[in-house]
Amino acid sequence: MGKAQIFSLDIVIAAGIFIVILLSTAALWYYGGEKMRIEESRNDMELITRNALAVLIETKGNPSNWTAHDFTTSDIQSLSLADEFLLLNQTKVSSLSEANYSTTKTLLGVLGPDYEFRLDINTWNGTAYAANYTIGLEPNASASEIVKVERFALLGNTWTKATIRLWKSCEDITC
Amino acid sequence: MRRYNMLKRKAIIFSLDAIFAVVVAGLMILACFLHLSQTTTNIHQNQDIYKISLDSLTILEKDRTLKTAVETNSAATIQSFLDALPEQFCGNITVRTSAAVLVLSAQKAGCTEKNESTSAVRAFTAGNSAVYYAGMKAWYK
Repeated sequence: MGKAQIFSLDIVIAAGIFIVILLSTAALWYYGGEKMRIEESRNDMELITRNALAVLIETKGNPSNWTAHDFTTSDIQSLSLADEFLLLNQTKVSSLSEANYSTTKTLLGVLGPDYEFRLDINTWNGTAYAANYTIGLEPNASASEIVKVERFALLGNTWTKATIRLWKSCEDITC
Repeated sequence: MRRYNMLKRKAIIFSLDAIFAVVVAGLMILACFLHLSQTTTNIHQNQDIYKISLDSLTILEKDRTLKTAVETNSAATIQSFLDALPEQFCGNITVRTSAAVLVLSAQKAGCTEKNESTSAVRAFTAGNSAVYYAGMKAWYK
């Protein structure tokens, strides 16, 4: 008598269903992980942006007369544009707009991978906020994420809108 | 003969509990996908709008706009400030005495108040050192 192999149709169906569920679970696992990674990265950018702007317009800086020091990370511990809460100092604003971008980034804590920032200081001219000072780099065509935060302050008793944009420079296709 | 032919046919046994199991597994996977694909609201947005409110009241108090508004009984400058708020923000400012009597109010043009708003309050003095409270409600358009 010859030997026979039993491989019924219901086993094939059961295996098919099992594989479909397994693949769906794997896809779900990957999708969940990827979404988590993107959200974490975005959250990191959101926090850095808000902290940087808050430090600039709410604090005096350390040292408070940092414009009198060399613009290096060893001489300055914390940057600021203000003399007191929301009262900006003209000298500090113009000094920072001419300062080295890379050192400014480091002092503001903008240290994430490929993170760049742009700070716009616009003052009220009676009818609208006009561009006055710009610090940093404008987001370019390769920017993959942009976080924008706006706050208000006074610069020489004039209403001032400070807008910071933190963006991620993305040159390769993996971004 | 007919019965014999019926017996010769192949059949698949797929019991009701197996169908339930497959359907439940499918629904669970689908529910997970739907849950994950939902866009999460920005957790920082409420904080942003609250900061804008506080900033607004602080600078209007520090540059004496609130004091002047009470003393001249005119909310025109406050109105200009509110109208120049960023596009996505709406807000109104009310000034009350310490007895909660409304003195002035202004609201950004083109905005209607929403239930989901944040509010900030700042005290200041005007006139004969009388205490007033400026309150700002802000919400997203």
